[in-house]
Amino acid sequence: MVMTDIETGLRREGFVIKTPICRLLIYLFLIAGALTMALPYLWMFVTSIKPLSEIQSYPPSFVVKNPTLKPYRDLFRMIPMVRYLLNSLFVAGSITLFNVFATSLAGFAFAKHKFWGRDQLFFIFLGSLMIPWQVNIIPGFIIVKNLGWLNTYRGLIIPSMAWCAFGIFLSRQYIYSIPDDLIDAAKIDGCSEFTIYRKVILPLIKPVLATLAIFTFLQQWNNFVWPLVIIHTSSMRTVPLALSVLAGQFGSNFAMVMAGAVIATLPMLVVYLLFQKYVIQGIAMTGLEG
Amino acid sequence: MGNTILYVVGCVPIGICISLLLAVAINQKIKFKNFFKSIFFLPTVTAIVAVSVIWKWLYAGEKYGLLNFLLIKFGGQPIDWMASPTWTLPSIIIMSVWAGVGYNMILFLAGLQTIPQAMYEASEIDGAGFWKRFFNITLPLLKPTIVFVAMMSFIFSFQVFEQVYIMTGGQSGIGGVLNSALTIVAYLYDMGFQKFQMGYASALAYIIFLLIFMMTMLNKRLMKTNVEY
Repeated sequence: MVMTDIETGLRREGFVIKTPICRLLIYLFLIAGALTMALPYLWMFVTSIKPLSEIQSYPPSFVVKNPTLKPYRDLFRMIPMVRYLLNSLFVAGSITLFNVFATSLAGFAFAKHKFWGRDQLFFIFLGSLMIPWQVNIIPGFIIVKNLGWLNTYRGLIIPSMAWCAFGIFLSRQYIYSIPDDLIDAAKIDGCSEFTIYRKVILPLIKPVLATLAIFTFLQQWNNFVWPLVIIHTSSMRTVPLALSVLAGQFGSNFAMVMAGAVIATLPMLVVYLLFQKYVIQGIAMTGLEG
Repeated sequence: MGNTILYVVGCVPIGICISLLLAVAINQKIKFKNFFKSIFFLPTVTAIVAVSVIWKWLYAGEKYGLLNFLLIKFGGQPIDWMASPTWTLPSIIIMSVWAGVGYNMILFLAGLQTIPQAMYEASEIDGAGFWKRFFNITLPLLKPTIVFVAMMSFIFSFQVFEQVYIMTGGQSGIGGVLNSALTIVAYLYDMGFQKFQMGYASALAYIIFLLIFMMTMLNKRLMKTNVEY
């Protein structure tokens, strides 16, 4: 039994460590690592359901004697948390929808159409990936300010829609690998360009688009700096911004701050656990890019 | 600026070593592989703001902070994590390493998958032990991935901002006690959006851009000197 295990293992995994002690060490190492990873999350959750008296008791304990939902009630009563969640959802959602649509269209054009200056244009898009956000943030802020878009959804959403170079790159690479014959066949059948895009290209690049969508959504939901710069009124805050303000204002009410952290973290954890495959694929793809 | 370099120098090597070890360990034939993968990856999908808030609480002062409690329990001295100039930057480094390990690990795993199996089988026949295989096969063949990950973490950690903003922001402005953790991007934000010296901040932005650009070019050089199979 052990032998076959090792043999199949040899074929699939890099190299196999056979001695039981070493294997035990590996497990210990991984378990220790996993604990280190999980501990802060656990602590966050435990703190968020602790009554004040238990937070201040020494020694700190992972066992909650009188679990309470009061921090959560406080959270939703004192700040418009629902509004913040909806803000985040709306902003991240619309950017994601637009980006996926626009980048797949652009990727289609870059991959399958010949037009003047195509490769140069694509190169410029790729080059824009290299520019760090710090360079854009000040001119971006000034433009948005002069447009009168400070504190608006427009100001939050529209500039972020421009961050699509990576998506264009990704979808171009995938569409490039679709055989031309398929497109020609559709053309002979009398499909318009847009029908080709909708009926031929889209179904074939669905997995990439799913990855891209989840990625963009995660990124936008967690985006902090842009909202921080653009938004000054309370009602327009997104969740990360609200959390940072919360930590500043109610810094000593740890239970409430942790409740806020739970609320901010939970939606993304759910998204991640549901679409794990796509997320990890996406990371590996960014790795291939280099 | 000095702080930023210290931060990068602290963050990148430690992060790479840990995540490489994790990737090699996870690449073994082990049970609960996906479970481990998911756990290590969690911080990557968590907003860095949330991570910072959680860690601020972990680092909390003498009595209530979980980390200090653990330190005392294992016979150490409590540390004034965020309140002393010497510990502010290390605290942020530890947190960032924690948050970045999973991401790098996935990149390393992808790299490990590309190493041809035959190599290991051959070395096995030649009687190479674990360490020999690790240093003579895994590391050299993984070199492109390592260079790439090093670059990415360099660029990311060079641009560190949210952690500093959340962890040290507050009464005394960004940067912590005596500006002991004021990194270049935090400085840019402070200049541009607190003191409203947009020109100064723009100049800073271009310095950042140039530095990152130079590192990217260096990266290209390094990538070209690839190992031959």
